[in-house]
Amino acid sequence: MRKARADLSGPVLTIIVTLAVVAAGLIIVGYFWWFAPHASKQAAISVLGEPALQVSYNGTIYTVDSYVTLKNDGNDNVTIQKLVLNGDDGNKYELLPIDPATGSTTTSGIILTKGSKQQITFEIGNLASNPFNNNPSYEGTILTDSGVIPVTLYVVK
Amino acid sequence: MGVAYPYLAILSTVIFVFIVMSVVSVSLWIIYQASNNPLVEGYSSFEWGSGGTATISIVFRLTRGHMVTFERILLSSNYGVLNISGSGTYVFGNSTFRVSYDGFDGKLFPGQEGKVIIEVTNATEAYTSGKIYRSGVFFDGGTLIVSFEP
Repeated sequence: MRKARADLSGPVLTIIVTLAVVAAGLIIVGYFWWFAPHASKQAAISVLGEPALQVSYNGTIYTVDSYVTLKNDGNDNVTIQKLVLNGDDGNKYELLPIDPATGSTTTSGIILTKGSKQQITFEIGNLASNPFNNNPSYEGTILTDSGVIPVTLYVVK
Repeated sequence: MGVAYPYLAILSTVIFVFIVMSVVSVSLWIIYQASNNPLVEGYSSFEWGSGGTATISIVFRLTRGHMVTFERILLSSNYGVLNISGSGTYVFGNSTFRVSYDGFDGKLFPGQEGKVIIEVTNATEAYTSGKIYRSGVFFDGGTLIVSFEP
């Protein structure tokens, strides 16, 4: 009695397995190259070194400058908006970043492109007194459109 | 004539390994980039000299990451903060600050140690014994805060 052969032949099976393996590989590559970066697009900010805080006095008013070097390790641009510091008097002081192109503070923020690093100067002026005089360092928070970054700033004096 | 089964199996294995290794390589590259941020470590010292002079030494070393470029020093004193942007002589208050480099030329490579020597005249007016002064050393890859006590 002859037995009916319903199995696939070896070469056909090999081709199917090969195509399946290649398709699986392409799906993996597609996930990491396309879907994953877009699904988890985010800026990863690193603070390089130790941020510094400098208070200047021109005989009339105080000006506070903060120097922070940031690197964007993520895969999306990020806008650095401001630096918020708690002063000795308990008040919060908002330091705005200085636009390197104009040399003056900007309320629209500084764009840190993906993969780039930049030293950003934050400034606040027209202060009648020095709110950062009692401690060697101050805790601050950098506000970005991708979240907040805690920093410790050391007073240069 | 089709390709025989063993060759197809080898081909599929090679393609699969290639794809997996490509993904692993990309992942390793991202990790390498993230962990390769420059790290500069250092310290400073203050030494009184004769005739009211003093020497401030700031020593730093690039312990991790790619080459960094020295930009400036914000040097604190009783006169305020002096912005030192390179070697040379700076007059600040009633003192003169003579700045020179040792061991580097403005660029710091991985593992390299550099030193900035600042010779101060009329240092007794510029600095007070027992007081702690904090200064900032700026590189294009970060900032180093150093302290010294005359």
